[in-house]
Amino acid sequence: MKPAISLFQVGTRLSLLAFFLIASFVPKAIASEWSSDAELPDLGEFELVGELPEIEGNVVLIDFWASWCAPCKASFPSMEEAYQKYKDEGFRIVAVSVDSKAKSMETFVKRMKPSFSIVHDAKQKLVSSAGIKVMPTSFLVDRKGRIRFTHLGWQGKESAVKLMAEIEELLAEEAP
Amino acid sequence: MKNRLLCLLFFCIGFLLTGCATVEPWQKGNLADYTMRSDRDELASVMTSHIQFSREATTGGEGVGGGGCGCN
Repeated sequence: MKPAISLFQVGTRLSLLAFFLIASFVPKAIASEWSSDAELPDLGEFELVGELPEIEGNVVLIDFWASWCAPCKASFPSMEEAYQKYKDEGFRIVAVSVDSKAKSMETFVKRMKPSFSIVHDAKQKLVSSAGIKVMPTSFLVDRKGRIRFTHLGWQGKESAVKLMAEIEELLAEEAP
Repeated sequence: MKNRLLCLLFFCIGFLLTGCATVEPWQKGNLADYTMRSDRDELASVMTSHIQFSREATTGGEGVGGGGCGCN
């Protein structure tokens, strides 16, 4: 008795299904993510709008935020405090707004009045490269340009204390 | 004929799968908008709650006191 469906036909259908499955997940699979001890990529390559501070030789906090994100807003006073405390020792902050509208970002900045550097990742290229999982996410980079600590979300005082300790640890390290 | 229909079905499923997309954390601006909140209209929320209580004998589950017994 001839089978209703040949092995060849089964194979063809399965490979077709596999192709579509792979095609639907490939963009996610190839997205790179910043990890600990990895070198910070050149921020100038990501078409950021705004002025970047001097990164080389400094301890830098790269913070991804958005105006619609409440924990991001809560983190700003602590970041401002850290910046004021350590800026003379070589600490810099690059707060990267991932807002799709520049106006939302500007309204937020006018209200919060941060003294550290704010840049707009209008095309969301940098944030895609970082591959963050939560908002806000920040990366603390040492004087050698290596990502040393990652903060996922903002847990109020707990995060602020941890951030301060990490900044102090990296500032204490020798410059290259 | 049956085989062709099966092939077409697999093709359609395949195309639907390629349409799957996840919203990344930095793309949730619209979802976080005030207009996306189900409780943005206080009056409508009270009305809905009242209708559920009086017509369906259900209450609670909205962060308020009461366990649905209808005795408060």
